[in-house]
Amino acid sequence: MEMILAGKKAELIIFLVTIAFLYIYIERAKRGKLPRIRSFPAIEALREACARAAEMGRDVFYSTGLGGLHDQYAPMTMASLGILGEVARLCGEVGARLKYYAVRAYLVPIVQDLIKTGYTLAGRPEMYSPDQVVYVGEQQRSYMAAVMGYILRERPATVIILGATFWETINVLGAGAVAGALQIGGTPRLYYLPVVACVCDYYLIGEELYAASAAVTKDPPQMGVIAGQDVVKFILLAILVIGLILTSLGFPLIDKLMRW
Amino acid sequence: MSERLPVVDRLIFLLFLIIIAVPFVTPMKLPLPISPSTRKVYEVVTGLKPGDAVLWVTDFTLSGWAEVAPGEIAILNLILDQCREKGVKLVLATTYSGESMAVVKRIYGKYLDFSGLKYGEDYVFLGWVPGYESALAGMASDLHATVKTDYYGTPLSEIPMMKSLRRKEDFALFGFSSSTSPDPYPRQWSGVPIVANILVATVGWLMPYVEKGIVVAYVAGIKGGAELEYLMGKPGMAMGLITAQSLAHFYGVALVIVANIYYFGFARREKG
Amino acid sequence: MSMLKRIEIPLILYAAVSIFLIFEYFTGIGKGAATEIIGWGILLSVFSYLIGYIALLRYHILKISKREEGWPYSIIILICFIVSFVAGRVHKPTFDYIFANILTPLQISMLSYVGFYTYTIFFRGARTRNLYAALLLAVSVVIMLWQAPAARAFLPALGPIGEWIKNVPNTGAMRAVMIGIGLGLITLFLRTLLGYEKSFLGGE
Repeated sequence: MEMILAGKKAELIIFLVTIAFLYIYIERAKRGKLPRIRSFPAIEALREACARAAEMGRDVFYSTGLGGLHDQYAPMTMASLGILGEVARLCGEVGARLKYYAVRAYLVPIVQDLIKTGYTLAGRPEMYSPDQVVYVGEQQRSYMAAVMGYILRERPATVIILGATFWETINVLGAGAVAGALQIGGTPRLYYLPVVACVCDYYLIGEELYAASAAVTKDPPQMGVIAGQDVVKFILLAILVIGLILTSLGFPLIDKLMRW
Repeated sequence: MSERLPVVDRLIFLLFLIIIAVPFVTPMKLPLPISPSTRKVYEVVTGLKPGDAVLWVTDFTLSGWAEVAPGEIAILNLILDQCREKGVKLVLATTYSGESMAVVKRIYGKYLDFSGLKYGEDYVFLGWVPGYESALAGMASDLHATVKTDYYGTPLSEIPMMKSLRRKEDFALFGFSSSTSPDPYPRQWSGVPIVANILVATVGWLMPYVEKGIVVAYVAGIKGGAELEYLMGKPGMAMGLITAQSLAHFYGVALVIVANIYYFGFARREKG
Repeated sequence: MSMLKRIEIPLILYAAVSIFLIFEYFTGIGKGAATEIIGWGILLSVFSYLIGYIALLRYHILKISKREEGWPYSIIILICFIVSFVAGRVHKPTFDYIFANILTPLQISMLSYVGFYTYTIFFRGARTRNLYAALLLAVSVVIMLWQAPAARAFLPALGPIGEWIKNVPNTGAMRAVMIGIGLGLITLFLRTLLGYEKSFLGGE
């Protein structure tokens, strides 16, 4: 413990405890003890959303937001990519065309692969074309201009925006509302969640995105970490409540422990 | 398929345009109460002692220009006043992206008053230090190792005021402006009093750090900038915009009320 | 060549670097090396722009060759891209001019869309469908008025109410979000370390 810097010992213990619980629940899930994840209206609406697009002969537009895989928004983008795979499969089943606008260059081959795999799993590999993924530059404004132009011109039947969204979401969802699209949104970034909640027909709030991605992919490790995270959150909540009570009684023990 | 917007949207846009144009056509003076956070910024900056050093990082992009630039100009001019009056030293930099340099060039070139100050002795501009959070971390632990030269190519070791400024402990104040998540700055520069100039939407993100005293004060949005300009007694960009913002907010509230009246009064009647 | 395509190589690289960086964070040992590695990461991420350039050029050249709808705009995009790229390499004053006098005003103009579409959303979306929507709208109205200094001058109660909303429920929620994001990052780290997260490798 002497090697650990002052003020970081408690942090290290919490980090290791978190890793331990996540690992335990991943292993439990791999051995078949899958946690129960509740259903999400936004995810149940995906089939309806894709079928709507197929009936109207219009696109399904999907966006993972502005986040990438190299920054602090990587978990959000990963979760959204998991749902994108399922949307691609559903689009293949119902015969709808999926369109994706990429704002990070390295996402282009990743998403192309995901969409191709989705269509192939649905038995419609011929529906896939590399041009379903459009790269619009690394800039938020160029992405926003391209997506708004696309939505107002092509009038996709469904607009799905899940991931790390920034202020361009206001404009994109506004364009979707004008175009009369069925809109599904969700982001753990809470700044523009009120806009998503107001405008979207279905939405995922905060970390529901991660749980929804796990529920969609039914990937045991992904489902396991959701349960593991919940356990860690309960532990942290218990520490907070105990700390609150002790500090109110004049014993700042937890506060001192956290600074150890 | 028509590419024109529906009539209702065009009407909303037209009314919005008219309402925000009114203060520019007919100057209006509306009351401006000062919020505690802005007053604290003013007190912290004017409370700097002679010889104190300040590192200010301008890290917002063009998308945040309208909200963050007015406060940025006001705060930096206030610090430059301290440089003139008390011999405070100011180090300027940007870390977020190359686009922040466009912002920096506009602000530093057009809006800041460097009169009476000598470059290298009163203020230094480090330019773009790429890396964002890793650049902030590097500057906090060893400024000279992270930034070899200033923006003009002069080694830091040859700049008089930089010789004693090597790590975060050498600075009396750290300040930043950001148009995105403000987390990296208090994460890397905690231990030094921090002042922030941020979007209104990111205030909630900063509050945990404000409550812990890691960030001592902040200016948020056009309103914060206008309040600071008022405290300085130097009306600027923010005070020119705040009236339009106030009217726009009233319009927004009115739209919410009208939308609900329309929905509950007419649309549902048509459906049923 | 098949050896380079194995996913174990990027996973080993990822594991080695992340574990070292975490070790350095908690112990402070190897600070110089850690700073160097982070610098390499920044340099490597710049190479991803190359993929973007190729994708951009391919998309628009195909669009022009097939005369798809909107193909004249693709010509404009290609001209702008080539001119900016060449100017940035060959004649910096031209590049600075393009950046300061064309790109910057255009980007600031794009921001103005936010204002207009925000009000569209107010009209189309701000309906009290249920109790939670009504609560959301009520708080939004209070905060909008709180941010309008003129309103606070006429309704002084807005000041303390707005400050309370900002300092108490908003801050509490943000703290919870920060904890969630931290846990999410640890989760991602572990899943990638154990090889469960493969989407960044591009595949099923």
